[in-house]
Amino acid sequence: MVFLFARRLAEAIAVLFALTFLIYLIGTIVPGDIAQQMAGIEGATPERMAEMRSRLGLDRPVLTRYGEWLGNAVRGDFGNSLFTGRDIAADIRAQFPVSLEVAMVGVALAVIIGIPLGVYAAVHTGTVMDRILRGISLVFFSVPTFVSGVLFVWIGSIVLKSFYTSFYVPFTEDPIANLRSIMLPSLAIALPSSASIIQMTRSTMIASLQEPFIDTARVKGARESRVRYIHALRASLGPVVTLIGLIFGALVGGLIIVEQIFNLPGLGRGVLLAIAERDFPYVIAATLVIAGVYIVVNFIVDILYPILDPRQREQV
Amino acid sequence: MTASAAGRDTRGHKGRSTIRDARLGHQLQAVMRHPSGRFGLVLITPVLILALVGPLVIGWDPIQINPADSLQGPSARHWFGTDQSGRDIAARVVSAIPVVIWVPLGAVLLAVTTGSAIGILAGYRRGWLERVLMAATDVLLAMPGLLTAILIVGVFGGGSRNMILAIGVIYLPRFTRIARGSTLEVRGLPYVDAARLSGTKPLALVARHILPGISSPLFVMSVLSLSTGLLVQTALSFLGFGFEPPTADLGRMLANAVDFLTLAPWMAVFPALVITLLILAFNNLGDAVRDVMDPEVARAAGTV
Repeated sequence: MVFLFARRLAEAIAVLFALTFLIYLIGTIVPGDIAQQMAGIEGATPERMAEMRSRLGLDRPVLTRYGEWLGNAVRGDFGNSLFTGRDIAADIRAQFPVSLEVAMVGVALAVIIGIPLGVYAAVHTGTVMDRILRGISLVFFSVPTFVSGVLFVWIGSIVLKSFYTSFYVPFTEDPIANLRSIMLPSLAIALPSSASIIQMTRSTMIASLQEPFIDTARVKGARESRVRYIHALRASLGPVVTLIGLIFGALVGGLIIVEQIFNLPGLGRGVLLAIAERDFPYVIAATLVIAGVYIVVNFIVDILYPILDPRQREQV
Repeated sequence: MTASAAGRDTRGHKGRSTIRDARLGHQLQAVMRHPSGRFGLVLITPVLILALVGPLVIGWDPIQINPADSLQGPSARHWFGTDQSGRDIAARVVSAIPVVIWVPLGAVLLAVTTGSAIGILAGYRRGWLERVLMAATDVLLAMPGLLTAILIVGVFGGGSRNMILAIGVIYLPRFTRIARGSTLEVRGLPYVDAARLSGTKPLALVARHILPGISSPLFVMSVLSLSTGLLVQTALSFLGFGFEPPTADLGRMLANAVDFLTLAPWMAVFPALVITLLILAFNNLGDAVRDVMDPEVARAAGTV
């Protein structure tokens, strides 16, 4: 167990390290553009370009620059934005909680929608409601986040006028207004995930309802509701928790999209803005932070898996 | 495809390929009999008909602006209404359909060919080469897919070619993993050993004995990847990394419609409907193909 943990940790760190190099390379493939942009398209004489390049350090070998950048990055210094001139690390620290909050509320909504519906479908297998729920989860799974997001903006601006605000309010300022500003985007990213949770809960729940310990509970005189919602549900949650972990990692794409649609000042929109402004130091830093969180979440899921499912422990 | 496979079957070419064609035809029929498969076909047919017949019956130019007609609702004159520049939305939607089908197809084709080549090489050669290739695969897999695509298209620019490249790169590691896993399974089987011992050259061995053995999981994964490929492509367009305006582009049309939602909801409805129908169709077809061809991949691909 400890060995497994150490190996996974080493792998995760190695992957993150390799990613820093890959992303740094992609972000510096177009260094000419940066110099050109800073020098101004009109005034980009060869002399000015050369001066710009040496000022930005672009005339030195990529590996040297990467080494320097990595050294600073490890200490939490990503340099300054080419566009705003502000400290990148400070900007990211301000944007990160916004994305994290939307993601966490999204996962919570997916669980609140997914588990009860999945349990209901499992208990009523083969009924009309089961089939309707299957249809609903297929639709939830297939509607892209940007379609449901746009739909929610429309609903929010017509039907839920008093409920919906189109600008972000931090939780510390006004919790209610904060909830109003992130509810719809969180719901948009929760829908596809809730579909996976419905189907996963349904299938694991059906399996556990057929296990011998369920009969034991019934014979002991436990009420049917207790058998279903305590005994069977508890035994079904292992794979569902793993799925929730995977969903958390997979939310990144949805986050980028809803932050754009709902004007949320998170990391995803930060990356999009920076790409549009060709602000590559920021792009590299933000991409790495996102990828880093993604790797950490996957690492936790990897570690949790054998803990939740004892059958996994003997393997590996 | 069923017809051509069956046709070759009756004419009876080389023995082995005939058997494989007959099996393929049989499987395609099974996909169409499968409830999900049938539902997928029912969903995709109207979109394909729209794409094929639309240009013949819609008289409007998809990029011609016409300010006098701006923001009109659906009518006999403009079936799907017009946008803020008075462009006909029906004409724009119809002209944008082919690309949302070709780009995911191209990306999956790129990923399945390159990915399997790398996976087979890793699984067949083993040793340090395998470790290096699989480590690179792990690194690619560690990036959230859409973020990778945004990064590639953001740096190198949009357009079909770069979008195919970006989406292909996201899917490449999945095919590498499947191809390597399947190759490892197949290469230990007696018939592969027999072929190797009888002096078959490596390339011929891979083409004749390994590829047929691993093609079915790769095919299943390809079909399953189509819907997410379409999703990523339209998401890229939605975020503004697709085609340069004024080219009609479903994702960008939807993004553009956000500013006019209360004034002209039809601007959003039709592109959104086509995108959703296509994804729903691809998902259903993918489910059917998976159930028919390879229940094993089902679990491996469950977490796309």
